[in-house]
Amino acid sequence: MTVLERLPLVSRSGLHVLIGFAAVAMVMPLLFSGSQLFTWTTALAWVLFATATSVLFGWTGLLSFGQAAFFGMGAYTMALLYERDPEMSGFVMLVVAALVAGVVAALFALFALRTSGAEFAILTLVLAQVLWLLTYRVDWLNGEEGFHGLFGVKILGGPLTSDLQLWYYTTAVVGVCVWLLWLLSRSTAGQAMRAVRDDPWRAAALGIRVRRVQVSAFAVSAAFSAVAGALIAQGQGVVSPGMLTFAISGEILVACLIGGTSKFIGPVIGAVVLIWSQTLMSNIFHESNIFVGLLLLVIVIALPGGFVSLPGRLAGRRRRRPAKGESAPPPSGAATASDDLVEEGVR
Amino acid sequence: MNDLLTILVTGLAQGVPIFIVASGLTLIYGVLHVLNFAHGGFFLIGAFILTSTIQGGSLGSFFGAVLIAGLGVMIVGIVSELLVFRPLYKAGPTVSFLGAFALFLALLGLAIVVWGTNPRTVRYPDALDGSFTVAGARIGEYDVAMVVLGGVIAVGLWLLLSKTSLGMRVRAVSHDRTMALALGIRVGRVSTTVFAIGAFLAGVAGALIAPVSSIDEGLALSTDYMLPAFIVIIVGGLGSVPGALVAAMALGVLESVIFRAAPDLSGFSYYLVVALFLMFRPQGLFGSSSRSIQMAR
Repeated sequence: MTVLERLPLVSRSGLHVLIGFAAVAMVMPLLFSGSQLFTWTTALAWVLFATATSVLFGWTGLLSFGQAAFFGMGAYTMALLYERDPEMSGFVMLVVAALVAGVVAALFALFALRTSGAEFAILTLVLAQVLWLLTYRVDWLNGEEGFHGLFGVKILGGPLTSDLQLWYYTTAVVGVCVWLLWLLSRSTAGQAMRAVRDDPWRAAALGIRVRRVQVSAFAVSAAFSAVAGALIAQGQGVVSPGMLTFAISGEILVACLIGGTSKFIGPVIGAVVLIWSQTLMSNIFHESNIFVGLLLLVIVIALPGGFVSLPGRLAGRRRRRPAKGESAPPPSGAATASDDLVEEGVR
Repeated sequence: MNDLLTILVTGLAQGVPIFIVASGLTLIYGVLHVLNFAHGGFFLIGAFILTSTIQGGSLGSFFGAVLIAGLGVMIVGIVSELLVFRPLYKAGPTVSFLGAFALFLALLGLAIVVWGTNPRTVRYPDALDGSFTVAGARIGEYDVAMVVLGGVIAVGLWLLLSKTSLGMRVRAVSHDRTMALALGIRVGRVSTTVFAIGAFLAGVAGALIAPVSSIDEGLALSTDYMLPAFIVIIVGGLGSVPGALVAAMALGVLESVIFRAAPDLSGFSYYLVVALFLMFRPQGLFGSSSRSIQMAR
């Protein structure tokens, strides 16, 4: 893939991302089947979810603890559409789910971004919690019952009948979405996001509209998270309030952190590692929480850059002792100060 | 008219555990600049310890168990500060925040490993089981005990922060960490102490709600109290203990009123209030716009 990347046409159009997904789509069914293939399908949906979360957390530097809100919103949108019109095409549902989540996210971000840092994270958590509460209080959201039978969603004229069909369908959707996100990360918009993350005050001085970049990053992240949620809903056939819980919001950040957000592929690796280790560990530990928590603790303390930083760290250690704080974010004082400045500057 | 008194006392009593959790959170935020998610785990472990240690229904046994819960959780808190937060301090607030979240998940898992998944219930202490009538309003004895206890803790914290040398050091560190370090204050030790106090309070709060609700593996239980506590410290102003007190009491009463007047809307009042506050006064009740931390003034 690295060889492919050197070809100018390929690297500009992100063709290698699509080729990679196509290769994975073909190879996996040869190696896995049944429930294992289904785990891979789930993992791929989480790959999209993690990459979408990384738009916010990794590229733009906004910590959201409420990604489950958009994940669940996608799932519920699909369920409601299916209830109203079972004949509707699954692709249309995905687009509608993405639009709904994107618009809600943009509106929410417009006011939530009056705060920054920790308060912003709490606000996103509040959003997810409000939606979770609403599923119990609003009659047509069916409370704990949720929705069933989403296997029947029609793709290209008929429902998906086998694990293999579901696999191809999920891979195709995730592949295209991740490719779009890859294009975004290489575009000027993606560069603006990273500029805002690194130094919002300087970005504003360079003429980047910080608030606008943050709001659009939030909307994009939400839209693709919603697609991931809808894919999961369709794969499992069930939508329940469990998809809106705080555990989901946390796990997706864990996925981003395991992989590392400094490279595009980081969250992809993280999501696969998270889903597979959860599946394998659930046989050993009764509850996977403790495992996810400990894994995250180890990563946060020992390898703050995630798995993608491993090669660099190893190489660096061989040459010299790595400079302290090289990969670490700036100290708290500086970060808070610049946040404040931007907040005042942009308002 | 008589209902009003009942609503008021119930609301205050609901606000007390949230104030206790929030005061620890806001102190820790002031000193370490971490929103400590793990507080939800501390809270839950406090409740579980009470269910294991309480014997019989006497008042002494109950408050003894509450104290043990607080001290047990305090030890957990000190260990977590030394193992998790101290190494992360230099890495900045986002990483500490995620570290706190990781710790939260690990503690929830730990609670399940130790105490299992069966819900546990605890009876009210015999002496506080009933209710009495004042001017025609029925008031639960346990509610009154909670309000009194909340008052005691608030006064205790105020005395600790404003009258002792430890309190002075805590205020110095939260005001300007570097300057405090330059003045020879052992910042690391102050941080650990504050963390210990915060964890103790979370354990006590967890133990106190044990008779009121059923204790289970509890993502739901811990978020039920942790989220309001987060909202309380934002509304009260990050780092301000008086702010946390006022906000917790006001929101407790508001929730109680809404529960009576419009049950469909109950549970939303915290979220509504925090949204309004962030629109019109993002720095909170007692916060200053420059975010310098003020405590116990």
